[in-house]
Amino acid sequence: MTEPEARVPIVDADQTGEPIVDSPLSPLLDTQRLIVCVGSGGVGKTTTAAALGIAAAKRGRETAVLTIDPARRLRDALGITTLDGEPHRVPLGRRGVKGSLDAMVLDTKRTFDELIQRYAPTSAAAERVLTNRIYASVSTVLAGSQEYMAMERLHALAGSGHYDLLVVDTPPTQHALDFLEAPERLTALLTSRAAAILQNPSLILAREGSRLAQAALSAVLRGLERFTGFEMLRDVAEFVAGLEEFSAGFQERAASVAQFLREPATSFVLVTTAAPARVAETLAFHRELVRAGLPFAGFVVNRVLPPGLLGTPPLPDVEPASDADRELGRKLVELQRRFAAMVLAERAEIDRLRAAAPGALVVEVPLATDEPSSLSRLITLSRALG
Amino acid sequence: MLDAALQRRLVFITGKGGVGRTAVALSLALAAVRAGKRTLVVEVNPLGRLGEYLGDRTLAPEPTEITPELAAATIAPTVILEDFLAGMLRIRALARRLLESNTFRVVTAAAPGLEDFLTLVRIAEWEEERIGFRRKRHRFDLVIVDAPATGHSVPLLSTPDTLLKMLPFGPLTSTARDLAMLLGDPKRAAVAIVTRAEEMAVNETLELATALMRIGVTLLPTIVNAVDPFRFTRPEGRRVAAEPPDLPPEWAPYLGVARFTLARQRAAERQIRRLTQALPDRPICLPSVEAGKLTLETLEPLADALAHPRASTSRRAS
Repeated sequence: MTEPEARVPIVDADQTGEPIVDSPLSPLLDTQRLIVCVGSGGVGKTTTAAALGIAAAKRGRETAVLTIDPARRLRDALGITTLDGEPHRVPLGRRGVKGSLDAMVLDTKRTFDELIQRYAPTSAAAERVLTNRIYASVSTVLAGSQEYMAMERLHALAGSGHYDLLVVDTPPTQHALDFLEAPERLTALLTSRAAAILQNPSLILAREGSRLAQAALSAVLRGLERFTGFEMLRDVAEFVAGLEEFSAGFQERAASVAQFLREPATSFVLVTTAAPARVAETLAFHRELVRAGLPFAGFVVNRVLPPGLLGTPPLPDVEPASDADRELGRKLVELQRRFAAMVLAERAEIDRLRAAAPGALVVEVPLATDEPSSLSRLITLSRALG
Repeated sequence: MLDAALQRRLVFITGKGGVGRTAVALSLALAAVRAGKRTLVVEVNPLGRLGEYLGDRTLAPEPTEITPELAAATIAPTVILEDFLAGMLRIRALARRLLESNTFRVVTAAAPGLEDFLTLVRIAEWEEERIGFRRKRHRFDLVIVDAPATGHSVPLLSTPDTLLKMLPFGPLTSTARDLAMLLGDPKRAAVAIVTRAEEMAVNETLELATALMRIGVTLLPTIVNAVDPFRFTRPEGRRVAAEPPDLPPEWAPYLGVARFTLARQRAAERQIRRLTQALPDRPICLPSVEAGKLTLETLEPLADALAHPRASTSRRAS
């Protein structure tokens, strides 16, 4: 972890007439192969990932940003017509950008399909799973499958050699590491024990192993069958038994993803705002990352009030010349007081981040008067990040 | 907004994650209690903060009395599944054991909508519950549901219809039909979307409103939460924005913050205008409350604004 370096202006790559200033994150954008953005929902994580991607492209790297947010707004903001499971080039070309940026969205179902095709011993085995009636619902509902698929897609992309840098926006989770544990959880579900139980359901109640327990279970399963209206038990058994054939492949893959996330060329960035509740969550994420031995690089604090707007004290008295002036003057003084108090509160929160992670990079992104809903606004935002 | 809600017996509060659904649901409950309604507020989220706002209470799957006129409950999917299984098995320990198994989670994942269906059944039971001599009056005049975020609320509210399409005959059909009738009855049930005066939240609100209208539920006016109560009037805005500013020159140090706030105010007004133009009812704006711990007291201003929208933060776009 290095101290933030002195800000050095470099050439204006986006031809907006303003010099690009190195941010503390610039060295990461130049050297890393994977940047993972983690944070609570609603802190601007997807936008930050997109802006980091733009910043890296401007610095000459072949970059891809992988988002879990298929929001039309992001697609429009990036200036592309489709945002889906395929990479789409973000039109930065006319702006003198040396690198490039592709954007794609995580498509859970499709990644799951590809995984099954890849690890199926035979195409008939793959077909059995893919055509299973409950596969569609299970593959999206299964706990952790979305997080797992995000990691899976990443691994595949990193291996493709098409990109210098991948920037990924993780799903908003209660626990930052859900997505890391997802492969283990998924494989645990698919071990032979689960399959065996489904083939002989009374094993769930093995300890009770009585006739009563077996009768109970079959009553429940009959009830569930009535609810779903098809022979669910058989389908589930087929599904799990089918997946079992892949579980060795899955486990190997999970280990390799875990390794990839801990490489020196990987950095985790925590995205937050300066609101006390968000900072508290971010500090909890930080502890989790550190405990898991993941390479944490720094914080991006979004929507920070620009302190530069505050006039230099002592501020002049507002002496009204008319009633209208009196009311407006009162409002100006009130706004100033309120803004100063909010700036102070935000500084205290940002100091808490610095104190919890000494030496970590902290980048503040100023609050804009509107949301970054166009490519030029995203490019402006990217300047704050590198 | 309040009148429209008080005419119903069941109101769902939904919206994008993080916009303040729970605070709005509780504020609406407060306003209803003030209007003399015995109110139940239900949270459909095992990790929700309703109990925290009610003075760090642990809420149960059965209504807990907060005041004589206000009760609160929480619905956790595992608890209702357990009740459902216990009903079939008659032995709760077996139901619990079954729920703890990973394999069973795969099995319930394969019965999509089961949890949602059971959640709605539970809510409908509270809506119908009667007490007193010859069970003459409803236990609750109004049930307010702090429903799941956007992505999940449409599947939740369309569960009865989905089920009826999937299983036109069967043991659950009459229950599903009753639920579908309750949710589709504009006199009894309605849905309010909570949003913020931000572009992304408004986009999502407009999409959600369309989806909800398509499944045939009645929409209440949209609630725009956390609108800054500070505002420049139009003439003031013009004076601040003018170049050079139409202000005494010695006020210049105040200009930076003033212009920034004005730009934010105008951006918020643009978003509120989008909602006004696209939706049948005028949105209701609720003021932002001081950050920090939310309690019934800190929510009073929101309850006021729901009861008297014009007096508090109703605003015309400039």
